[in-house]
Amino acid sequence: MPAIEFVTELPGHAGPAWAVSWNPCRPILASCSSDKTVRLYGYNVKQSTDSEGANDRFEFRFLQEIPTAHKRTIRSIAWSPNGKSLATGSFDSTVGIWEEVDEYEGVEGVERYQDDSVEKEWECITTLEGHESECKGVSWSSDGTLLASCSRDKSVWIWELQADGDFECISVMMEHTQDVKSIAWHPSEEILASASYDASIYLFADDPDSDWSPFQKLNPSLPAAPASISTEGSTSLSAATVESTPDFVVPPLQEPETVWSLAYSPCGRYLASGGDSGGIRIWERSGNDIDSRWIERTHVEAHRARACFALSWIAGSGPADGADEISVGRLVSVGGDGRICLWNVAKGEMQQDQTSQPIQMQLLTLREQAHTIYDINSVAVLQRNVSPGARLFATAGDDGGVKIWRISDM
Amino acid sequence: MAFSGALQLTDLDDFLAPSQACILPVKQKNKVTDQAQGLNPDTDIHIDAQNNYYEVAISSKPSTAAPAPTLKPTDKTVGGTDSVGVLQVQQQGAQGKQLEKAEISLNDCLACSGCVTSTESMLITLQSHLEVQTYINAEDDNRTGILTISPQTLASLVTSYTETPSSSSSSSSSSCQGLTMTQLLRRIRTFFSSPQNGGWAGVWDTTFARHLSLREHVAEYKERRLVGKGKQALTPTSADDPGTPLKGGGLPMLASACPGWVCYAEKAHGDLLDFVSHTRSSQGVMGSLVKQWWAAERKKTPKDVYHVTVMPCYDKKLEASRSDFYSELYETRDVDCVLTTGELDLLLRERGFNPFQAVSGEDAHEVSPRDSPFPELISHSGTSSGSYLHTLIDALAREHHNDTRLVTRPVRGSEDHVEYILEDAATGEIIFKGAKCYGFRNLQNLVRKVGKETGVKAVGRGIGASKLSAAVAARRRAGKAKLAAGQDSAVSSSASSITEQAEERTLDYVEVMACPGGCVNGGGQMKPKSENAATAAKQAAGRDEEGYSRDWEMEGVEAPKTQIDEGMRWSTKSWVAKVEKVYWSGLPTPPQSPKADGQDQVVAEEEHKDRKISAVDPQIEIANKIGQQIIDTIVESSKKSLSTTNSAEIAYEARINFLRTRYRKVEGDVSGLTAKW
Repeated sequence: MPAIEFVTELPGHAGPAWAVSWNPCRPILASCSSDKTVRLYGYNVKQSTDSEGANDRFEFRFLQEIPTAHKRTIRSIAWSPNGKSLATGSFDSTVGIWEEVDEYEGVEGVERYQDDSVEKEWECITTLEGHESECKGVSWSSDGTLLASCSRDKSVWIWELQADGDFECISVMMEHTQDVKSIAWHPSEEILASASYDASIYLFADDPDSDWSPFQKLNPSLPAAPASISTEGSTSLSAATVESTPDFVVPPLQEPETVWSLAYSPCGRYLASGGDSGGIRIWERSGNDIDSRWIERTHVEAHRARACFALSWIAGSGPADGADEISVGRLVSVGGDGRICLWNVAKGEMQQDQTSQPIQMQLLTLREQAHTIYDINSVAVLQRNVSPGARLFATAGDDGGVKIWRISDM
Repeated sequence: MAFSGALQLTDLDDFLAPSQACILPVKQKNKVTDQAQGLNPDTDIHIDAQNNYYEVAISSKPSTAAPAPTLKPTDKTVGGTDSVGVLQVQQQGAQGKQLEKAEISLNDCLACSGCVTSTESMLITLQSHLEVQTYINAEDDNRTGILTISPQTLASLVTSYTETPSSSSSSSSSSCQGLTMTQLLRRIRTFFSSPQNGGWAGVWDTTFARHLSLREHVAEYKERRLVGKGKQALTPTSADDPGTPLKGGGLPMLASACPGWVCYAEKAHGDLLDFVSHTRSSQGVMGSLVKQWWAAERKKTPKDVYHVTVMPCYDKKLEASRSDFYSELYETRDVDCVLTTGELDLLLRERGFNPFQAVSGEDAHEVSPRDSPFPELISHSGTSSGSYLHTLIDALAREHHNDTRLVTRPVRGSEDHVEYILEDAATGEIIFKGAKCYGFRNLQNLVRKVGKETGVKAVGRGIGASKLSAAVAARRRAGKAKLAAGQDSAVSSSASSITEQAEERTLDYVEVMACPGGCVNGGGQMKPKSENAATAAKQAAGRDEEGYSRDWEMEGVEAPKTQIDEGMRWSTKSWVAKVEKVYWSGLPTPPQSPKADGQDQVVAEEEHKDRKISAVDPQIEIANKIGQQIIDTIVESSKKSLSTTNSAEIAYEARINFLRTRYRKVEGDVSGLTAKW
């Protein structure tokens, strides 16, 4: 039975911490905050003799703080796929691109940070202006050539990396009617999803005959079903669910809710979205074309009546031991209720009409008050496989803290 | 929405208010004098039945503040709120003081995102077709009416009137022959000149004004060229000297005919304003012509003339309300009211205009001097947004001592972002590099590029990064080129045919327009007609055939791949292409190089050899002559009114006042980002 174990806390931000992001190539974790700084942490694994890695120890240390020149809260950060650039999206409406001034180009970072000697300066190589108000999200496409940003000004922008290192705006999309909360790129194709306060999700793709444009608007519609609980963990988990049951019965949600968070499954066939009333929805792609329709498959209660602020899939999380469903993967969700939930997402039995296969979400484990009474704003699973027996993920909360957790028994 | 268990005050702000940046400073007058007179500072504000506001002292006792002791409960119940103020005024005599009403007009508009972009209702009520209706219907309005119509408006109306929902795109050319822009202009003129429709003294198009604007534009370019590249103005204006017209900053010069772009530049890119052309737009020049020249010719004061323009764009209303176009002396604006194309159509329909009702003399080659003091529908070859760039290229090619060659290159394959490089045909030396740049997205890149080239914007600090990114970008380019190779083999060779010299050359001039497709696609133009427009509109509104509210996708109705908005977008695009076609077909001389066929030409070269010896279009020649006469008249009249002896200076100043304007940076306070809520 999987469990979420606390590894360490990385304090230091003077204001709420908004986002965490793992460098995909080097052992660095970045976090950002209302204090207008980005903090970088290095880590290494002290491997235990135990071959299953169950007793591996993780050591984190503070590397440096990028003061940034942002004038207001840094709301989101994202590492480029090659791990060399860091994008920051700020409430001052700008996006910053940060790179290391590095004379050891090509030297693997692992060694460098392990030998504890050099510390490179992170410099702002360019600023992307254009949003009229708070930038809420930044995201790199899978090959790192496109950078998307979204803002309270209701727009979604796509920038293309140029050969001279500068960026060129290739699209400004104004379809949303409200604040755009977050954006996410498909893990392998050039499909961008955006989530908004207008209660919808747009999916954008490049129209070869024209410009970037939305090919589908997703309107969440399924009512939320109670979470099904893993049989192994039934006692403790059902206690948690029972405890959370309110004294009065809240009727099923009828009004549209803000979509806060998005995450594509590692295989790219599913999209998870987190809503303001705490539910998680799974959308499935119906074909293999770039503009294939996405269909809502399930909606489960996850964070009581509080918003589900962030979602992160665990790459390579195979089917749960011996189960006969086909696994989609495991998903971590965090929200305004201070909970961290670990989910198993799997395909259910094919319906009789052979057209749709339901998606089942099973709550494997959860952690209450992970940042005490504070909201959890961000979660990021470390996708590099650094220890065979455990997966790490980081969370950032309104308490300004960044916490590292470990999922054991995967 | 539930609040967090640990709600904290931060600068997070997720709640939207429509126009929070729209704040006008509150002016407080006479406060000090009131206190000096020893008036009781404790006052209440009361409203009477006529919605007049009164400031009323609430206590006659000079000592401590007693909250409303004189207001007996019975006053309220018996007299109601209306009577309270009145009663107080009567009881306390002169202490009740009527307050001045705060008025907000278009002049106060900061063009923040608040209301202009989300709801245009404010603009529509202040400069609406209803206001023009009021003018027409008023018995006692003795002002002489002048209506001036943009050629893009005429093209849009002709397209709209001649396109029937069933006519396919292929038959559009034949149906257009039913009505030309000239015919429509003359029919509208006849219609409005009749007394029951207002008896307008003139209904003209704005191409003659544009002609003057284009000439002045070229003159300004040459002035700026003397200043050099990236240099700031020769005579920088200071805050205490706001009256002096700017003599022009350096290059690149950015066109200013598009008020959407000007507003955006003033609001978001104040540091680039020096590069924005100071020449008035065709609407601005039309205002000068009507109010300053024509009125004087007719021995009228500017205030006696009611000038209405019809423009393809809502933002022209904002342009007309700029303080520079207001004459304090005559208390009048150069343009009193701006209608959009759609509003003119509404006005015409409300008054029963039939666009297919032929009028006498509508096919005459020349406009009769009785009908218009200016030549009609002058063709300026180039773009349907005013041909600013092409006119300049033409002028520079003519002035060059050798034959020239024009190389064009779409940036990223876009028709809305094209670079034009003028070279010496013999030596290959680059004389000029210009660009046309339409649409908000291309504008972003322009702003970045110009900011970088001129150094007024620090786009980035480090350059060490470029090597890293180059490899990634190159990969993507290679991938894209591979994709494109199947369709067009020219793509790979295109990069090499543009010389490095051309790449390095910084921009000299940019024709900037905020709308994709330019002015023919302006926000105020007629909306596309399409066969299933009605159904599409219904579906877009989420209603089914019976008008019931439905959410199609929610009900599992799998919409086909050509979705509603996609269909709309396509029809808009083809609609704009039709308007563009009409725009050029209505003109007597064909344009030089409008890429109406939509061919994705990567590199086009055009010999300018013939251009130099080719005779000037007679129509242009006449326009030049009349234009010169008008400028001379203006200069003469200003000589009389001024006592300065330096005639060259007067001539320059007079021309500047007539043909140019200036811009101001909108200060950051109103950006909404700095405001804390």
